[in-house]
Amino acid sequence: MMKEFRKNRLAVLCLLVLLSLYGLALFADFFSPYAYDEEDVEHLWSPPAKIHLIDREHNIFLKPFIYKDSFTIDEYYRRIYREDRTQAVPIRFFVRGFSYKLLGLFKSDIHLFGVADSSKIFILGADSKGRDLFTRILYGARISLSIGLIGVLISYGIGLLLGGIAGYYGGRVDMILMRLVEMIMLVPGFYLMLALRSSFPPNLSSTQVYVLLIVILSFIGWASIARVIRGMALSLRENEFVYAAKSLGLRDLQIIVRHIIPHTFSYAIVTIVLSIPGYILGEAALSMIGLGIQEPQASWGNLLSSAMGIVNIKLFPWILTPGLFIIAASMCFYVLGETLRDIIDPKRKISL
Amino acid sequence: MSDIITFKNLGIRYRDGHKALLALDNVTFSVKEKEIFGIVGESGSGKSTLAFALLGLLPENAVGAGQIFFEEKDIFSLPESRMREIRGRQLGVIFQEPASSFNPVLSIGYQFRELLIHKMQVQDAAQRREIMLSYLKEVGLKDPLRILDSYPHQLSGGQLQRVAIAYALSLKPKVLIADEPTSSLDVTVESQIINLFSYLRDKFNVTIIFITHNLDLVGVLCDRVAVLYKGQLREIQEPAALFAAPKDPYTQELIHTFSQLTQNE
Repeated sequence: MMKEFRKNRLAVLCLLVLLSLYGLALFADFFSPYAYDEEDVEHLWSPPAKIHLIDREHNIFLKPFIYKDSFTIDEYYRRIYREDRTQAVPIRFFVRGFSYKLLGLFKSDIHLFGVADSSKIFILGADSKGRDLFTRILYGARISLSIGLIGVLISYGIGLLLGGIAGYYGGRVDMILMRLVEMIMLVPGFYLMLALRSSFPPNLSSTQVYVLLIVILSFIGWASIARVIRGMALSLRENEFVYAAKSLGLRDLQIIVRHIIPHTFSYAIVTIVLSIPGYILGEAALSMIGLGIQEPQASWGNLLSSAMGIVNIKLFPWILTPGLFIIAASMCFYVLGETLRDIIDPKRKISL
Repeated sequence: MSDIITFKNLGIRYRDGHKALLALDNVTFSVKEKEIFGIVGESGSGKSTLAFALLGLLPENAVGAGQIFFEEKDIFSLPESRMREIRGRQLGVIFQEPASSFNPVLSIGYQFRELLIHKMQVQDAAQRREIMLSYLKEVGLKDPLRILDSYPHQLSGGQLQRVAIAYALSLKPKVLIADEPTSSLDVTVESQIINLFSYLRDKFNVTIIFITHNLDLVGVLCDRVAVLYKGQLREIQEPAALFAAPKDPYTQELIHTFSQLTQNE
């Protein structure tokens, strides 16, 4: 199986991209030059920094540098940033900056890169408050990417168990559970999400919202999983080994957990991977329209909320970059899921 | 010897829409302690239904009447929770298809361990291991250590059937129900398994109900034989008497066709 996976270059690439995204998120403190809520009035809407290796006199440097920039205000009161070609600011690596706890354990103030205090570097530009977009994308990744994982695990837990129970017992239990599932699936996901969110107070703290988002997304997500697992359980319970387990007097829950659910795992792994983008997009959608993660905390969704107006996109196109991260992460999960499905597909296995 | 199981006026119907299919019709007989009791009949004669009724594992569309006494208690009307305690611990069962009676994703040892933990409350790992190995040896498996680590698909049908018997015996049941345990095995393995059953009866003092459509096996193995036909009990005899002087017209016909069949071979 590993061999087959490694043969698929695209899937390997996607796995690497995802791993690096999660790595960036996990070590966001280290990779980001500034704190996620560090504002700077001197750099409102500062465009992405141009990183140079060659200076005015055509000298080639081995170390990249940027030019210190300053702005003038034009007739529309817009800031026009200009590089000052006389003042090169070298980019330094492993510099000391704000202090943080790596993984919440080790105290440190080392950052991957940075510039001297007299200037600032925004490799992906800055937002309306002069906060570094790159930094905020990394911190946002923590929320956006972890919501996907946690949400999907919770819905799978619920979906597997309830689907397994419905399929195994059949009859009235099945009937009640499946009607419940249909009630949830009946309402279009996005509106259900909005309705659920609106049933809670709007002014929650970011942690509360984070938990709430996971609860909402899992509440919507478990239904479709339960339905498929129920179908699989219905056919699995007719297997003789289930009869054998019964005839040995094992309890129903033991049979469901040991003898039914494990057989759905190959399906589950594929669908878990394929459904993670749904959670990421769900969080992004809610946060973008202001119902999810609140400022100053960042998530990929609420970073995009400033990109809702066409004027902003026209003037400051770099604020769309969080969207690129969302697209990249979602696509990688899809490709990964599709590849896993092809590999695990039992029909292919038999023909081997 | 006293009776351990008594079927009394047992009738089972399968509902199918508005129709009802009669599977067992007013069957009454007793199985004595420590005997090997054969039940023969053709496909659809109700012999498997009898086993499922005894175990309380009838499908949902089955309707039953009558009583099944196990050690003088009527177990046919027991609720599922009580029946679960009897199943396995009192009444063991071995199915026809050894290959499909095991969970293919769990190793033999893993499934055995679960059984001992949940049904026998053996919590000590070393003790569990000893029990597993001793039962696997008892059913004639040569390399029990390897068997424990194997997955079902790595073993042959005969080996799996032996493992199934070891599982069932490890719960120390009083009665072992074997539902066509050798039908899917080849003839050499079949005779080994048959010998194993006689050996185990003496060793573990267990009553064996042996369900089969093969008259040959009944003759070799069983103390008494019941003949089922279309859900009715036709006669109960010792095998020798059954072959020499069948009373019932159906049994006569059955033995006749069977002897013709063996002669042709």
